[in-house]
Amino acid sequence: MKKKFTLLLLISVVALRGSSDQELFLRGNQFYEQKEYAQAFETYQKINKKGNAVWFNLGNCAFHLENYAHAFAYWKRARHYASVQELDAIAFNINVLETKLGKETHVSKLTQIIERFSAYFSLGQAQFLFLLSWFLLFLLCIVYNQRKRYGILVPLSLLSVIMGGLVVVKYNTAMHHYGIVLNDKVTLYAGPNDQYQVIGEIDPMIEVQVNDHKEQWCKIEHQHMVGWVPADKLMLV
Amino acid sequence: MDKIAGKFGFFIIILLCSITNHAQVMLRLQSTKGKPISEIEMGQPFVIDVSVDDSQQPEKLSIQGIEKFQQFGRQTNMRIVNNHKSIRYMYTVATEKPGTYTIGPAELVIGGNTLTSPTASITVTKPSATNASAVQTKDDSLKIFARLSVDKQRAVVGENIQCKVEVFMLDNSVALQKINEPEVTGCVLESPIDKGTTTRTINGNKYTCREFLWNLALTQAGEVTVPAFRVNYQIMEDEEDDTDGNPIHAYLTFWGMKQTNVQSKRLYTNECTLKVDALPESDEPIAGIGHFTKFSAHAKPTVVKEGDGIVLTLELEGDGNLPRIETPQLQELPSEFKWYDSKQYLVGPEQNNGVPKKCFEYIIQGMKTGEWEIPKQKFVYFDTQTRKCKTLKSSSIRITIVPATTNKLSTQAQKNETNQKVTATALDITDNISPINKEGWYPRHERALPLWLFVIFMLIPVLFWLFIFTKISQLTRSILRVSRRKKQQAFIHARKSLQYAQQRNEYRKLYAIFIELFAERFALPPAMISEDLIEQRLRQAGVSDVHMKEWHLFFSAIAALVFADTATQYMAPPILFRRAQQWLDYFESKV
Repeated sequence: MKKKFTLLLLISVVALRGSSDQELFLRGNQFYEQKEYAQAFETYQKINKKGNAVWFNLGNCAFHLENYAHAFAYWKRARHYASVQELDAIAFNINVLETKLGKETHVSKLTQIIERFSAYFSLGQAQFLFLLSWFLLFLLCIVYNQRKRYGILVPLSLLSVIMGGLVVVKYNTAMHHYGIVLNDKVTLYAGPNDQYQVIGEIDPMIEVQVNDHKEQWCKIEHQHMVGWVPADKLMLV
Repeated sequence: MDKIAGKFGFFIIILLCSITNHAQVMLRLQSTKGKPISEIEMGQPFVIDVSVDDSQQPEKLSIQGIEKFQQFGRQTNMRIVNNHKSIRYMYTVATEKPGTYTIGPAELVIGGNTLTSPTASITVTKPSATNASAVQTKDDSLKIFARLSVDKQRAVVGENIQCKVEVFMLDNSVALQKINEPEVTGCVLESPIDKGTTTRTINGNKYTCREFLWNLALTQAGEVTVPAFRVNYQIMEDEEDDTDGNPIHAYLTFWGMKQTNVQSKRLYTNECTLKVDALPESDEPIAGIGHFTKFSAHAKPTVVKEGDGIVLTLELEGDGNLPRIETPQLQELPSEFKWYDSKQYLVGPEQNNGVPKKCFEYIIQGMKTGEWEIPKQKFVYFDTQTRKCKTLKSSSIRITIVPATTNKLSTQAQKNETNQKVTATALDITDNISPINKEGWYPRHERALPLWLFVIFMLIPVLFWLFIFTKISQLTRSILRVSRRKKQQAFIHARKSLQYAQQRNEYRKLYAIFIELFAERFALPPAMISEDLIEQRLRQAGVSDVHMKEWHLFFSAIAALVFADTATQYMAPPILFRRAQQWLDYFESKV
């Protein structure tokens, strides 16, 4: 009886918390539609567990509040687990932002294709498809090797390579952390302290790879430069 | 009493008669400085002076012909000197139309009687000085004068001409009020630009020069005359005539409070004439006139979704009639594109490295996905430096139209909004971001195998394949080993079998002994061993024809023993066993 009561209480708490977040989300949407972007931003910030829609909307609010670096970072963060349509919307907004700021980021065609393709599959789906094609490939290798017919193995091998590549991309994205340099130029130090030698400077709104962090400092990598920057100058995405 | 009354009556009559006899109305025309005039330039104010001596205040005053003039003011003066009262009415008037005017008579009604003045004539003339030299007012001598000049004496239709009016003022007693533009034919005057004030020395006098610039757009060929500009000014003049003998004026002059009279006056600049040529014939319509240096095009963004707006800007740089150049039509745009002209604006030379620029903005929409090219745009103009028609071309622009998403984020509303705002500015377009996402507020979690488990799963077929391969190879190896052993021991086995058969005199087993021997040596099943195969292999082993013939005879004999039991007719069994032994020895060395 006691166990049942505890379970019921836990479910209620979780449900209430969920509904509270949803309520905040809807309220934030209302503020946004009324063009009260500052209030919408504040409301979205209060959501405990933020989905990519929340990050996306935060980016929109920051854009309207002319906080462009934050808008860029929020939109980048919204890319995680985003659908193809959501990715399109994010890409559109980033394009608008870059146009507004007179920046032009060159993204190669191959990267765009890989990004779009990877958005169609979750990591689990990619794993499943890869393993399926992998098993089939081996099975058919045994069968068709005896019959000396290798034609069927070519598309299957191709499928295995593609799905394997997709899994690698997905794991790579999941295992690496990235950050966006916020408003000002950030100085890159050789160590986690401003007493260390200065390595260089990184422009705002640049995406960098975050390899490590120590207290209030992050170790980042950008264009073959590795160094430390204050954590408050970055927003992890 | 009657005497007194009679004397008073007589006095009244005498007085009235004297009033009637002495009241005299005069009408005079004079300059604003009080000098009598009979001729005046158009626009110059003059005074109609009506005076009545020895009279009461008139009940009514009317001047015939005054309505033809523009009135600037009316003054009334009354003087009583030695009981002589005189009243003056001064009307300051002017006219813009030249001609001869008759003013008067002035009619005054005093005590029911009407007094009439004589008439006066005045000739209004056009401004006398119209040459390039400065116009000087007669009255104000060199205190103020104005000059009109143009920057080109010869031009083509549509060319930009600059008219400059310079007003020179000698001192602070002259104040410029307004410059009136004349009506011009064959050209259009744009709003003036006040270039400010400078100081210049002319004939040893320091003048304050105020400059005004007009852009003149020539609209027709031929000889175009820019008429004189009218300059309105105010001048402060000392009261000269009336101060003499006036104690009040003397008193004010003594205390530095000399009275001054501010007069509003006008003067005219000279005229300018220039020759306007027609534009030369050209295959394509001439869009501009001047000296243009650059015509460029750029679009933002260059990658858009279907139906989304792109801001295409054409920029024209150089000196010429930029303000009057209309938004050019976009040439040879792919039919899959819609376009609308959005706006045009001028960029001053101070904002563009000293070169004026005009920007034409268009909103274009790609309605079909794919890679497109906005072709080079042409701008045909008449070059005022080389006096020839020239063409400037912009570069082509590549545009990528991607499919419109069916996402809720890029809803139809957004498209409609884009369409509605299609004439909006570029800035508005760039602020038009995707609407907020109203779904998926909750964090999404992907279910995936842990990396270690995934690697294990991935290795399963590899390991399985390796296992199978190992097993097969082991089996193959063992088979090969057995067959090799059998091969090596085939002759031993054959000799033993032969010995055994010989001891028991089982000569029919000779056939089987040789078949087994060859089967083991050739690593084939016994059923596959035939006479032809044996012959083929023996020949391959280098057995001679003689031996082959003998072997054939022997093999036929042992086969016949098995299948027909007739061999003993040709060969006795001991011979058969001996021969068999010999063949084994021979084959051991050969096969």
